Amino acid sequence: MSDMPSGMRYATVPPLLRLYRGGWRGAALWTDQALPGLALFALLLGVPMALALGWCDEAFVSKLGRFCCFAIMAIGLDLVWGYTGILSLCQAMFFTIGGYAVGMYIAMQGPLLGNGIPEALYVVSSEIGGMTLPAFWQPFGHLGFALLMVVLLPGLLAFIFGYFAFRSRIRGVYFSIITQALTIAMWLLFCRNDLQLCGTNGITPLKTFAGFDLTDPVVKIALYEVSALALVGTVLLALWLTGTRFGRLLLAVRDSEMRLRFAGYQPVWIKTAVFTLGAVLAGIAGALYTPQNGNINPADMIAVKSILVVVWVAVGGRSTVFGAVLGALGINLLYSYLTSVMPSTWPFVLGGIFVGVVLFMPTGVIGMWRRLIAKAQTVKAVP
Amino acid sequence: MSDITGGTRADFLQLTEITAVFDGFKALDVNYFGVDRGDLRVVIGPNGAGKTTLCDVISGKTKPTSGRVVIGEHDVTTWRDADISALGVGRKFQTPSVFDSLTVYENMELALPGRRRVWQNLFGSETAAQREQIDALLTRTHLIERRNHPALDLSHGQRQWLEISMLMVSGATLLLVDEPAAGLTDHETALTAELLSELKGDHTLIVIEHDMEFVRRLNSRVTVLCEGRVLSDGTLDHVSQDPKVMEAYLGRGKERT
Amino acid sequence: MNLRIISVLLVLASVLCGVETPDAVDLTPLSSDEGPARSAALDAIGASREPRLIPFLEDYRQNSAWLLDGKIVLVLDSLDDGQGQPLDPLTRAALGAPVAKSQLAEVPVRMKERRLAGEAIDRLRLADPNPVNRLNAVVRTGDGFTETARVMLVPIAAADEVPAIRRAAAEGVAMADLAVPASRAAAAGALATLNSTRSLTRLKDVLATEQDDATKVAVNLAIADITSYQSRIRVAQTIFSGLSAGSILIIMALGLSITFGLMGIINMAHGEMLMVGAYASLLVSWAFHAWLPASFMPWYFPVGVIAGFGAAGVVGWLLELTVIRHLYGRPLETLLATWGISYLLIQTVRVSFGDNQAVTAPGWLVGGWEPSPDLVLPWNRLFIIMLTAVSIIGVWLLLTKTRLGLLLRATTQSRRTAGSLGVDTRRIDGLTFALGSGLAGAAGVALTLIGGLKPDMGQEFIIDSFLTVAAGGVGNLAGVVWAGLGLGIINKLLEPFVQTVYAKVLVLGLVILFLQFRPQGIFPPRGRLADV
Repeated sequence: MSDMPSGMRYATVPPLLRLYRGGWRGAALWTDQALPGLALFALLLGVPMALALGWCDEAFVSKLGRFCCFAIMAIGLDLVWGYTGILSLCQAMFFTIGGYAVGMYIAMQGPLLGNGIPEALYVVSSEIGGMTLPAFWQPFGHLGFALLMVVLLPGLLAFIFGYFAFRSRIRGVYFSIITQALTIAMWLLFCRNDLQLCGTNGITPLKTFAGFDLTDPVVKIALYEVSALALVGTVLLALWLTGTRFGRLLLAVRDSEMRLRFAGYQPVWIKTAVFTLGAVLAGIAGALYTPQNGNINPADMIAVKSILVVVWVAVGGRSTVFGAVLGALGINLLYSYLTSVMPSTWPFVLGGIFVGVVLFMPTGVIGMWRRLIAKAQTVKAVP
Repeated sequence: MSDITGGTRADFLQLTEITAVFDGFKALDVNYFGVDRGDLRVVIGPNGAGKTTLCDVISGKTKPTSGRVVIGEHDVTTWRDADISALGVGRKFQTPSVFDSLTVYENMELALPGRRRVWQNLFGSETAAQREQIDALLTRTHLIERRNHPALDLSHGQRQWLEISMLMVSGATLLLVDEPAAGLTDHETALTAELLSELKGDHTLIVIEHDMEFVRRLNSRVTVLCEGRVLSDGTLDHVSQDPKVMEAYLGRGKERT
Repeated sequence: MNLRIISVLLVLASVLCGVETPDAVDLTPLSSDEGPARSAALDAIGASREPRLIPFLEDYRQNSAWLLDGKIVLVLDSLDDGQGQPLDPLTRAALGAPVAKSQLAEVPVRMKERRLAGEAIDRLRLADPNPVNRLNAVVRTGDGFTETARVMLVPIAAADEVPAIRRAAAEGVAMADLAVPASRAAAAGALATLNSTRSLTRLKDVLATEQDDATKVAVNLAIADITSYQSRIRVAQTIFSGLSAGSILIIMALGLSITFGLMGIINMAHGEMLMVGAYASLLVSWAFHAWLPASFMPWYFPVGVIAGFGAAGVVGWLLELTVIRHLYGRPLETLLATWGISYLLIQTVRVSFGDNQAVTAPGWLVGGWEPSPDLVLPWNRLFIIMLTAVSIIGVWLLLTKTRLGLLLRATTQSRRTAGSLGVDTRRIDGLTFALGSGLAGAAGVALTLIGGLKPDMGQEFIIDSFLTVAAGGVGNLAGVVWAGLGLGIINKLLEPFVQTVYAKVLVLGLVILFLQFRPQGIFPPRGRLADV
């Protein structure tokens, strides 16, 4: 039996399978992985039960659904930043692009005017007569195409941008700032009316999705369930991925990219792959978010939104997957609560949390929790 | 260009008329540097002599300003570092670089040859034979007790050994070892010298070192670099009695005590 | 007709006598039943040089002038309720109590009167003591191309005290001359000498109808000369705009280069240093307003610059002391922590000062320098450019010529060595950070010359300054200057072809592409500087 490793700095997430191996680590995992597992289970089934019992209203459920989407985006960032060390500050951009893909589909189903032009597009345009549907809108009338675009658009953008950036060995803060520049440029473009993406208003109103009325409470709950399921799925995907050799390669890139290169690997492809995955996850999150939110607009990708994702992951705990979920859900719930009770304090709370976590709690809540467990186990083991 | 004695042109590793110039500063200016297959060559010299640059040039981290690098039958002067390492060149850096977040075993496992493409790393795992190979190496380098511990927890010497073990498991045949004895205890230094000597024959090694005791233990041919040039070459005794070397190390007008 | 000539001569006489006190004019004949009397009265008004009669004439044209008890009054009410308040035609003061509509006699205003009133307004404006109004009037009159206009402008072209007005009047005269075929060629030549861009359309119209070849040649020549002048001006204006756009960016990037390039610190709160500087100068202006007599107001600005530099420097120093110090060697964490601080700073200022604050630029910076006709270089932007130049020189001098600069460079190159030589590296760190932040503060004060204050005014600069530093080569001050200039000029060059937003996106894209292919920047860091 091996002696006690120091759990304090052990950042690798052991796969769920190791839960069964037993030993002291088994005990720790029981609290730090089974517990989140139970929480996810509660999300799936507990919340609808609470709704049925009248403990919460459907507005809350819808809100929670949106937060689940944020959590999916956060997991993507955790893979990219927590594990691989790439601080991407443009996740909200991928999120919004995915949201627009679905939004355009929904708009094409929804109220149409004149020659098949969605009302959303019409509201912004000043030319009424003689306006035709822009060519690039037409394919979005098909659900299959729209869903494909949800994955393809953010994915391709991330792949191309990431590949060229990583190839020129742009890393660290340079990469982060460039991603911010990218998201700002994209925001500027999406705000333009003449690009026929509905300008600053975004795509609104959103009425029906594949025949389902989005204002129907049953549909809303169904959307929530889908989001929660997607979240569980993403968690499982992330846990599996980080347990593979690829997951270890991600950590290797973070720890010593040079060593990895000299071991014969090509970090460019590893980084591009994980960056693309993070983008696709964010895009899917955006697609699930849009029908629940009722609209999608360029403000969803302003510079600060991407930094918020980093806050969630940093607070929850980097490179732990569950930390991303905890941070995303926790901070957004806190935000929701505080803005209804003490609205003016929220910016200070957020700023304070962020600075505090970065300075004093770099491993986040889950990191601290694991440290406590390790300490407790150390104390227990001393004869 | 500097003078050099000995060495046949049929060497496994050949550096011919290599210069490396950075911003007007000539870091390397070597007429010929060759190492036989299966040999262990020690490279010593004062700081800034160009020893690390020599390794950079061999491994492809730096392109020489002029000259040729030949490994085996391949002219690798313009190759990328990834391709050169695929050829079988392994490098242990001055400051040991291992993957801190991974266990010792996982570090070794990543160094196994093959499975370098992204999709190859999603499924499947190492074979039993590979597992045994790793464990055998770990036992040989006294790391087996730390097998499942994160590499972060290793001592400095243990990190050096881990890095060397990783080179060994990767199937590298030309090993560039930069200061393996730095920061080691006497005991660890002795073990390291043993380890490196064992590797001779199957592997070709170039060892950069400062610790003369360690160099003596290695009992191999020594090349002295100074200011980018080869100053002297031969056994340790031969070079340590060479007046040029004494002047380089001890300065002018000093007598050897 | 004779009356007209006489009145024009009267105008000439009055203008030739220079701009003097307005003559008192009798308005009563406006109510006369006889047309000539009314015309004469309007001409007299035009000659009177009384600027207050301009609004009176405008109301007169709107039928707001009435006759009451033998005097002309203004009644601006609608009179629907049968009553109106009579006002003095010049001062618009109330003349007693409101009167019934029945007491007011109509003042006849027909097309002729309206036309004459318009001409009188023009003439009054031509004689306006305020040079800005006078210039506008001269330009508008000149655009009339009529003989009357010409006659009115000739004396102004000769005798007005302001050179720009003389030039505009000469332009108007020449443009009117274009109407006469005999003087056309000479007029074209005169316009070319004046570099009159204003007359280009007229010249082209004239060219279309001209038959005589020699004249055609002269007019073509004039058009060619003026067009080439126009493009030269455009180039100069673009370069100037680029300089001006780049200059604030350069100051910001200089500061960021010092903290990032020399110290390796990513400060996302750098934009907020700009904001702190701007708000500090706002406070200075309030203080001046509250405690010092008005005559001191123009001086608030230089004090504001110093205050902005100092305030931002202090905030930066505090920031380094409390937060940055603990995060050395961890650039990503520094980025995140400073972003958090930036967020907090913005919110604090938003809560204290609200979302928008106006600042009046000091009077001595209003307007512009016009080295050549149609080329206007605003004073405030010239000031900003000068401030940038001073900053660049100042930083260079500080770093290369002073002992402090030497200590700074030593500490950044090798902290341990400097420390072992007795340099207080912690103090140097604080000072370096303060210097970089102070520069941003100065930029913020300069920015108040161009626009208002908002809590997030620094946000739009942070990414751009970072990209400037990256493009210029980290730690390289010359590179930063060139990169900032380049970005500013490229931005302005693109603007005529694409809209501002697209220009900005294109520039961002260009920088990103540039960094893809040359990640080390224009002037790469020398030696073995490891990547960040």
